[in-house]
Amino acid sequence: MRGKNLDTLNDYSKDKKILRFDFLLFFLVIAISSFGLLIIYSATRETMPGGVSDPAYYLKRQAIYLAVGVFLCIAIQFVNYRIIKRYWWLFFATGIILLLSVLIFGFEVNGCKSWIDLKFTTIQPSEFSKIFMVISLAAVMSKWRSEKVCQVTFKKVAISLAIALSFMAFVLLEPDYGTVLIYFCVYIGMLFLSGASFLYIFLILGMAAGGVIFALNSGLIKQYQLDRILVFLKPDAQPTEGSGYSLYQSKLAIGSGGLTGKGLFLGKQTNLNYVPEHHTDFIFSVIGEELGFLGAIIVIIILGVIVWRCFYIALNSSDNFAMLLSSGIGLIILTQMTINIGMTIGIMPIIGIPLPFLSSGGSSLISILIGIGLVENVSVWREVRKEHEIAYQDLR
Amino acid sequence: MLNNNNNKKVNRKRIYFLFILFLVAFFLIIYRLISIQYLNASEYKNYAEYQHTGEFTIISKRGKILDRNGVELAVSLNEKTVYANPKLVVDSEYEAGVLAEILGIDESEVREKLDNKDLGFVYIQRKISTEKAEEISRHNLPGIYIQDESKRYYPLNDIAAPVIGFTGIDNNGLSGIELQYEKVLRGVDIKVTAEKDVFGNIIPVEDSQYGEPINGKDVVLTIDSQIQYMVQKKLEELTSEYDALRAICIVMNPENGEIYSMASYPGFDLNKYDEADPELYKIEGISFTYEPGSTFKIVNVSTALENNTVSKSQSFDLPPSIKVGDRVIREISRTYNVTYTTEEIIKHSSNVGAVTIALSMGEKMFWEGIKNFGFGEITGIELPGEEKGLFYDYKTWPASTIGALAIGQSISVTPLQLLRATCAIANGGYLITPSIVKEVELLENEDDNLQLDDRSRIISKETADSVKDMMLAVVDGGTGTRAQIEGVKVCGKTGTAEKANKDGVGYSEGRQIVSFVGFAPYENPQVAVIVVVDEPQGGESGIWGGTIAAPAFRDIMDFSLKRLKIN
Repeated sequence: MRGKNLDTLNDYSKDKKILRFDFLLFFLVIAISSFGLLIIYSATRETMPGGVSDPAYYLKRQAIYLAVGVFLCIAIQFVNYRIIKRYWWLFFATGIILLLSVLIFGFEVNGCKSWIDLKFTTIQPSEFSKIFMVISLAAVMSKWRSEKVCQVTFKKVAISLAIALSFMAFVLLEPDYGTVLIYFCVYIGMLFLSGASFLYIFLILGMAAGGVIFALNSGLIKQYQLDRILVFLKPDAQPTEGSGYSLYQSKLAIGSGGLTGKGLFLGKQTNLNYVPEHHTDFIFSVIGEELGFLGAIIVIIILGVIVWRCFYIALNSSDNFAMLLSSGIGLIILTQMTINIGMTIGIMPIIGIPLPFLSSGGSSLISILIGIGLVENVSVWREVRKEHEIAYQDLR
Repeated sequence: MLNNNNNKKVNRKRIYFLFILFLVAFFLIIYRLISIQYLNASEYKNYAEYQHTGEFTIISKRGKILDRNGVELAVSLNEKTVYANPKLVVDSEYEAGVLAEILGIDESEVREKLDNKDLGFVYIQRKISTEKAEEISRHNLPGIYIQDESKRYYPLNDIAAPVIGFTGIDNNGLSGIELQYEKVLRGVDIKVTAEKDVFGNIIPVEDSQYGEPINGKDVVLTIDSQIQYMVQKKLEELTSEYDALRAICIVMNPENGEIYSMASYPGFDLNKYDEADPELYKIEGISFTYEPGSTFKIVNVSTALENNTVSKSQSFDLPPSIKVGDRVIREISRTYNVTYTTEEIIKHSSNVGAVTIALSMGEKMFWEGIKNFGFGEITGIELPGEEKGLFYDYKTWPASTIGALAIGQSISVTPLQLLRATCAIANGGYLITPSIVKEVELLENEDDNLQLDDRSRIISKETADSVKDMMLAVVDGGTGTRAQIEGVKVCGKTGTAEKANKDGVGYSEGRQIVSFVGFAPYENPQVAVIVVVDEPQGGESGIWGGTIAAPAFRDIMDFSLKRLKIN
């Protein structure tokens, strides 16, 4: 098996891989991220969060992150994803070590110990580990299908669960419930795509529900924390404080934007500081306020096309690992954008997760660009069969 | 390979399923956005607009209240002002050094202020530049403060407190002159609409158009703070010496009605008005009503002389008591018959004599006379809360009332009403309107509603002079000898009235109001004073207007004449 893989690897190198690079995906990612720079500038030039004195501070910072992310995204193309698959445990270990170190060396922001200070910058390991978890799960799950049909045994699912749980457990300890929810959604999605029986999927969903109920009953999660997350279910909740206030202000921002918005840089809800976290978690409300319904729709469509490209590449991939890796990245973008945008308009729980490509923050942007790099890699290194080969196979 | 293809089909289905799930979420978001941004956009727009818009007021600087010599009685700390609370100063030597260097003032002077630990407030320097103020605040000196908000401050604390009055949290006048002249003092504020951020900060908008507020004007009182201070000290002494409920005094110019001092004890500190009993906020000089007793005989005799029902030198045979209606009115200590002239009746404050004079007029004439002297009406002084007193129409009088009125009962008056009546004797027969505001710059479009030179003749000069002579005799050798001042001819009248029982029936012994009203100098009266003491106890020479109120009157008159350089 191993020898054969290396042989085919040599064959691929002869093809014009550059032509298999998905330029539409890459272009949309660059476009939306650059647009993100503009929106972040608009969100921070007046309010200057965190007491910075340079109105362009966040713009400059994000531009550097974008450059680093794009560089990594392109650099990844020079490594065949099959090598990544072979050494998946290295990524698994790195992810776990990162999450472990944040618990030891990390510092707290808003009650979550999810940041490490590297002196020249700060990083949020749970963003990077998301990618590492997808790689690990894709590697483990991809083996299920190369054997016989419906051979997804209990033992194999348990192993995948163990991998996902080990990531989630560390993030839970921070505790960053929002990110755990993303991890969980991505895991369930990948399990679903891996071909696992619905029995297992419902079993795991049931376990998760049981876990939440247990956490509530045992007081690990306080009722008020749950209320805060679920404030969107009570539209007439007190809009004066906490997440109800954030939601109220976000809705005012987006609603007052109307169809065409107030114009770039002219969002008063943002500039007058009414929307909290307007450059990070609530960046979408800045878009909604300043660019209106049209701007919001364009952003959502671009994000949607990016997700579609991820799944499209997954569908056309040459093997299960590639399929799972690409759709796993697609799932990250899908769940985060749905929950984040849904949160700002009051149809999703209020949890602090960034909007991919748009929210200010290096870890989020760089990790998702690495993810896009992996998706592109799947496209670039896919096996291209000649017409007669396909015909031959179908004949057999 | 076949397996793989089958698997691919499963994958496809599942990926499509996921994508359909995504499309559902996508359309849910679109639907929601349409709801927020299109269907209900105007509602959200209004709410957002509402919360961004801040209306704020640029408050005009409140005018000062000054005494007749320009002494500040009420000021607003609008500018940057450095002040200290010496009680909280830690190192006065160091702090004085820093302050002196920044402000360019004498270090020892600052040191002296900071070392005065009795005070909780002392100005270091007022109206300093913002830069200097910032420099001082950078030093973080304990006990040193910079004030830049508008705060009403009363430099003389309790001096003329009820008259000056105070302002509330919004700097609006709540009592006294602060209330009466609210419009003048406050000026005109400017309302500005601007953007407001989430912390309530107003964001300056470059093109917003607003003018400057019109600052409030100063109000200059006729009060002389030195006389006021002396009077308050005197009243405090008087009250504590005789364990009285209260003491009231007004010092007034009998020619033009200017009030030099209007005081009462107990008082309160204007800077801590919220700690005081609200009862003390009352301006007693115009709101305390009492039965005047014998001081009222001036009104009685003036009316009779004016109407020629008695003459100045007419003699009366006076028994020790006289019956009027169902009431017997007695002399205080005389048990035998005497013959007094009109003048002697006043000099010795004879009750029977006073009743005899009153009876010579009859009810209607007496009533008209009393009304002419301004009783039963407010005097019109520029202060809020003035009382009219109680004075009934003669048609309702029982038979005994004329007798009671003759000796100052069955009527209640304010100290100012009685002093004003006395001034008519002093100034040759004119009823004047008392005034406590000397100057006030009116705002534009404001009608000048000040009544200037408002005086009307109520008795002839001859009548006034006759009564004046009688009042001189009172002090010379009558009931008011303790009011004599060396080198000055003083005119006065004593009053001792038993307070009516609380149930309103009869009079109670041991609860008196003693008073003394008078003016000086005799030749050209320039100062009129009334002293009223409520329920004094245990004076060595008895509780009389002549023993308790007269000496206080003398001291106050003496001081006032000297202060006003009248001789």
